Amino acid sequence: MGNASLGEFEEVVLLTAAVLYPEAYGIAIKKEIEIRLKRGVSVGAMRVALSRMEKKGFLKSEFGEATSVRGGKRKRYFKVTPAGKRALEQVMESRQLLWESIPKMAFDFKIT
Amino acid sequence: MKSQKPHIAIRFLRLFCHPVLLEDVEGDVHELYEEHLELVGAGRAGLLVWLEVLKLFRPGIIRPLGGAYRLNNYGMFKNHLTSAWRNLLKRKRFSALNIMGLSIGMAACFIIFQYVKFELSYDRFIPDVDNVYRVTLGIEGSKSLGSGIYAVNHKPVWSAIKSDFPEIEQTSRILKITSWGLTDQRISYIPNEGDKREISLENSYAGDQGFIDIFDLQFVDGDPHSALAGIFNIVLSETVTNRLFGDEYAIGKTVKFSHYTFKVAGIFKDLPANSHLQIDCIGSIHSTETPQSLNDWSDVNYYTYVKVRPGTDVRMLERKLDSFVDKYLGEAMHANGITEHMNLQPVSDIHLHSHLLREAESNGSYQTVLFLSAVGILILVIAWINFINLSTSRAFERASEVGIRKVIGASRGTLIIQFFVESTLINAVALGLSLIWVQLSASAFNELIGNPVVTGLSTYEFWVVENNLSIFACILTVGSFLAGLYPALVLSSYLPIKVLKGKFQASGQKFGLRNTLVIFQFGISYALITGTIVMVSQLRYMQRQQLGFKTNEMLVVKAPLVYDSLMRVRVERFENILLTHPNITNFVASSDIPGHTSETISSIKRKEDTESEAILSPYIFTDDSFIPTYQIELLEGRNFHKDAPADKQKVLINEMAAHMLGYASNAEAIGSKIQMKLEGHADYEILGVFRNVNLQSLSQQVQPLVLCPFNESGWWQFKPDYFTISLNGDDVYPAASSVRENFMEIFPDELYMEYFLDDHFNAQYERDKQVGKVFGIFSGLAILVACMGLLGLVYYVASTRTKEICIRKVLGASFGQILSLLGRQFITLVVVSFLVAIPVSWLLADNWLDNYAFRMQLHPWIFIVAGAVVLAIALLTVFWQSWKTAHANPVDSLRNE
Repeated sequence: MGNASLGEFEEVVLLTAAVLYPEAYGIAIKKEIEIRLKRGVSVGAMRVALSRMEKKGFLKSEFGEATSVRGGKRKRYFKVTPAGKRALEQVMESRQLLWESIPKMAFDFKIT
Repeated sequence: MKSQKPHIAIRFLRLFCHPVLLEDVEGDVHELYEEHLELVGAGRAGLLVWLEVLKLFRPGIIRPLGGAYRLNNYGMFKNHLTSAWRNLLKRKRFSALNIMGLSIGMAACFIIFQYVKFELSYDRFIPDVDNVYRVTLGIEGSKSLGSGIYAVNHKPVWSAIKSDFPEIEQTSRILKITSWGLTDQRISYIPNEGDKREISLENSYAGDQGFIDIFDLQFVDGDPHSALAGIFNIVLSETVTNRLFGDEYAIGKTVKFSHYTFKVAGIFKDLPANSHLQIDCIGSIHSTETPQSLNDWSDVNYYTYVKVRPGTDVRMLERKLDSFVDKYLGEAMHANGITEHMNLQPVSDIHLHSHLLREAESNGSYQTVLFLSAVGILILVIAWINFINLSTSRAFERASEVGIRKVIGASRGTLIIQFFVESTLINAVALGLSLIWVQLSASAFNELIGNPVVTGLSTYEFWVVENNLSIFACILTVGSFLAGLYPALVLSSYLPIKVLKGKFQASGQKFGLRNTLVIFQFGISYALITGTIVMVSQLRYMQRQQLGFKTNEMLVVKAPLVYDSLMRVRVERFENILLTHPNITNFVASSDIPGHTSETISSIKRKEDTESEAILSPYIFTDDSFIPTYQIELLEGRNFHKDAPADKQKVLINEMAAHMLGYASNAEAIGSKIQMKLEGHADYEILGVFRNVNLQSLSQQVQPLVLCPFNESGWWQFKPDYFTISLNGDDVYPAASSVRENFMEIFPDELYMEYFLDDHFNAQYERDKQVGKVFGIFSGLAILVACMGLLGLVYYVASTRTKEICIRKVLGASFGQILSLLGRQFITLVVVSFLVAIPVSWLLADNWLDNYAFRMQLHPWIFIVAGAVVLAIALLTVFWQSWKTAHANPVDSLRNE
């Protein structure tokens, strides 16, 4: 599963798209990330990540209805595919496994 | 909000965005824009949207270049490369000559470019360098003397100018302590009792806090804002600190310098090599100043820098300086019949455009930089011409290839592209090779120039900071295009029918472009060789020129600083002891010495002739030993007499002074009286006239000179500053060390400083010598490259006529006949090139020589020698190839048909 791996930013974007469903489109995802994770996201970075994951098959997209607010441009709504869900789960599982195998001592900080 | 015309950033986005992504991306950006519009206003929103769009300019968003997926020209392109490569290999020697010539040309051009860049970069490290100026001082004497502009200025200028002009933000004055030539300025540090570390400095200054601020000296240690604010503080360069203190912490330690004890208050990073000042240490200048001396306008020794406020009209300010000069110096100027004016000289102009009197260091010359840039470009042009000639001379070979390609269906455009690919390939290989040359020669060149001009290829600076990558790219593109253009056009123009029928002629016209280019190449080489010869001989001429006094085996020693009657006795003792030494012939004490930039100038006037104009003349106070010690020829009258008290009111003048004072002959001057404005218009009688001596470098005119005797009152005012000791014998060093020992014994408190007069004079020509060498090397390279082209051409002619030559040989032709068959044409071209180049190089050389007051005559032999050299090299080239052809066994080339 070479190309099924997720980068950190991709993971965040994918998760956010899932959170916002069915209202997940560009600006909404961007704002959500900015609010929840308190980090700046450029349209460019986000759009590239979205396209890449669409290519990998983690996301599906379709255009919504045209509105007047966006200069008449349609929104592209994103939806996490089953493959995307699997990839997210896999990431979580592997993190979980790692967390569980941490020996207690490693976090035994002493405050002096 | 109604959306009107889309924002310009969005239109930019549409330009580059991938069409698949465009709709929703544009929508997103638009949405963001409208949101910002409400939140932060139109201005900021526009900025933010621009930022966003710029961030969208990235792979993944940008649309693919039109038709990248349909680029089936790729195969053809590959074929061009392959055939170019095969062509390279097919004629190995040809290609080698071509590439070699190009690479040498490129390397030479690149190195010269670096040198030029370095010269132009002087003083750019100073912050706001465009607002920093040096206040120069022009002194105009009488009509007969012309004018002199000084790099130094009156002492109080720095403070007066600041208080008078609000547009001047900061001022500074520094004083070069080390009189040039007297290299033995020492600084010493005593870590503990009985242990003394002492080093000598070459560039020591006294300066003020303003200097640190204006020049933004980078402090390694100590407080840059107050280092020179206190008295008896000194700041040292990093190098000096390391030499003097080693690993010890230097700040706060005391050092002894000159006659004073200073506290080390700061350590600064050495000034970069491209600074017009090199500084070892700066002592705080006001350590020894008194209120009176601070206002001493007669003290003209200070480099004065000002930094003007941004936006100041400097021309305007300069005009106001006239009234400034008038205000402070008007009275003195009037009394002495002098006019002075001050100018603001941009600091960044100092290195290349300033050759004033008393510069802190010898500066570069803009003319040299221009000359060298021209040489660099010309070498590269010669190499490109080689390429053109060698490519077109092979036209015959390539013609059938072109014909076949055209028959198969190649358009002319395709063929042009093919030849461009070929030229790019050759240029690229040459460029790669030239990098090796640059790397190999960098350190030698740096050493020759004495500055780190070319950095190694392996450094970060080389590629990134100095942006050399773009230079190489430029050389490659321009070269491939310029050199490839003509061959591409010519070779691609052949008509297939003509070529394939075999009716093609190698070179149609008798006097084609190729011949013109060869003439051009050799003309340039010839001019460069002539230039080198002229430079070297002018230098020799100046060095051989009689200065008019003895310079070899002359030891100059700095006299004690403090003088009183007791000291006079000690000086006499010193003199008497020295004269007992078998290798010491003469001793003289004087207020100045020839070769030292003599700035002690007085206005002189004939006494009996009140109408006559006053002249300005340097003067030296000395005694009767001066003439014999320096072996100056007396033309008229007599020397001072030691025991004649009346001689105390008499002077000796040189021919120039006599001439300028208006005496018809030297004899007429004897016995007449002159007034000198030294001690209240004292009258002096002219006792003798001596031959002109060149006080300074021969690039300057002879000045008048007056020798005055020390007298009782003068003894105080005009104390001897120098002792000159004339040595003889095979080995002068024992005598010199005896001088040193005696000096130390008699004047134990004094610093001992010495130098040999001839070293000092030769040092003046160092820079010219250096430029001569650089010029010589590059003219050598130019002719080397030109000859490579010639060799290629001869080789080509020989190879196409091998059979003809062999048949001639079989029929009994001699070597001489074959040589003339092959070489006559080329040698004729070379000779024609001389005819073209001689007038041009004559003019250039004549122009250059005008920079020197003592210039040699341009003899025809210079041009004959240069011609002989170039012709010999060209002949050798032709000869070599002809010899090989003529001595080949005819059987080898005739047997296969």
